[in-house]
Amino acid sequence: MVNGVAVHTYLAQGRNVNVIVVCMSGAPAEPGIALHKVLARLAKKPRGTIRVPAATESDAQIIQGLMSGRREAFEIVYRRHNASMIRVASAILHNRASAEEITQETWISVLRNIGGFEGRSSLAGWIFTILTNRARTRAKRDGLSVSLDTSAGGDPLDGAFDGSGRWRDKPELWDEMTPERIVGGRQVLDHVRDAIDNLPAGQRAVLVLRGQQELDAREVCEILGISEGNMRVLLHRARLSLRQSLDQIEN
Amino acid sequence: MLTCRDLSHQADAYLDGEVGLWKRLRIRLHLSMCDGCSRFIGQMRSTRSLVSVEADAPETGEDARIDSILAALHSENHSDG
Repeated sequence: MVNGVAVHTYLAQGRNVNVIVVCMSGAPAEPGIALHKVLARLAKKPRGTIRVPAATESDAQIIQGLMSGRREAFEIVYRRHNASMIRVASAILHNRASAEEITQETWISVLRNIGGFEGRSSLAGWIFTILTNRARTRAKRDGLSVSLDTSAGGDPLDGAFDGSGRWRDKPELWDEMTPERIVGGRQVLDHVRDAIDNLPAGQRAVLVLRGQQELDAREVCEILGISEGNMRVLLHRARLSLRQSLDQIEN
Repeated sequence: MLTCRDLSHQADAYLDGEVGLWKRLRIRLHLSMCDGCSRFIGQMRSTRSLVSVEADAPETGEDARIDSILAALHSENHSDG
């Protein structure tokens, strides 16, 4: 509700949304992405291009669909989470093939057990909890360390400042660092993908869960078994590492 | 006095809008006087935006994998028979 009037949020279908049309009407607002989240995302994106998930279904509708065995519901949730699940699993297992297997097993487990989902966490939180539990079991079986290495990776800006705290080398102005732009023979988006895949495990897991999947801080900490302070440091370092990688592709 | 190094530590909090009013003003003042930090904050903004965009980039071969998951689920159900 805005100023006592219900607000409809219309979002273009598909992945690339250039315009968000907000209509005022007397009808009740439809369920979907919370308006404050949309506005928060717009505020962070200076160019006004915003990607929103193609599905505007709420968790509740997806869960209904999964329980009814509807393929479309599964497709939506699969597309939202699968790639992130593989990344988080690989942060624990350090092996992409194992991570893909564990992710596949997790989806089967999710579909088999959706009837027992009690909504005490978000759907995504529940899915990632199943995933990380399975990954840890596999890690133990394979003789790997079960706990996520959350210390790896120093401060990417170590040495970037002089004794007075000033930049030694002033950062450059990035020229049109947009996703589709070709730099060094590849799209920037591909560089970003590789950079994320090459982050130290702890940084990668936190970036994916908190910076991409946007799970609550508390859920991320429970899923990964880390403190909130630790999570903030890892997230910040992940972003600094990525900034550094992107800076280097320009030059 | 807020140094560039201090600002770099605050960048995430600042961009998330989680910094108090007084600190925000000090940061903005510093940014208005410091090219390097202005560019750095711009780079962090772009980085965060690109990370979000990457999150929604579609994978290849999704349909085939969705099919195989559903097939595995149904064959498990049958074998429980």
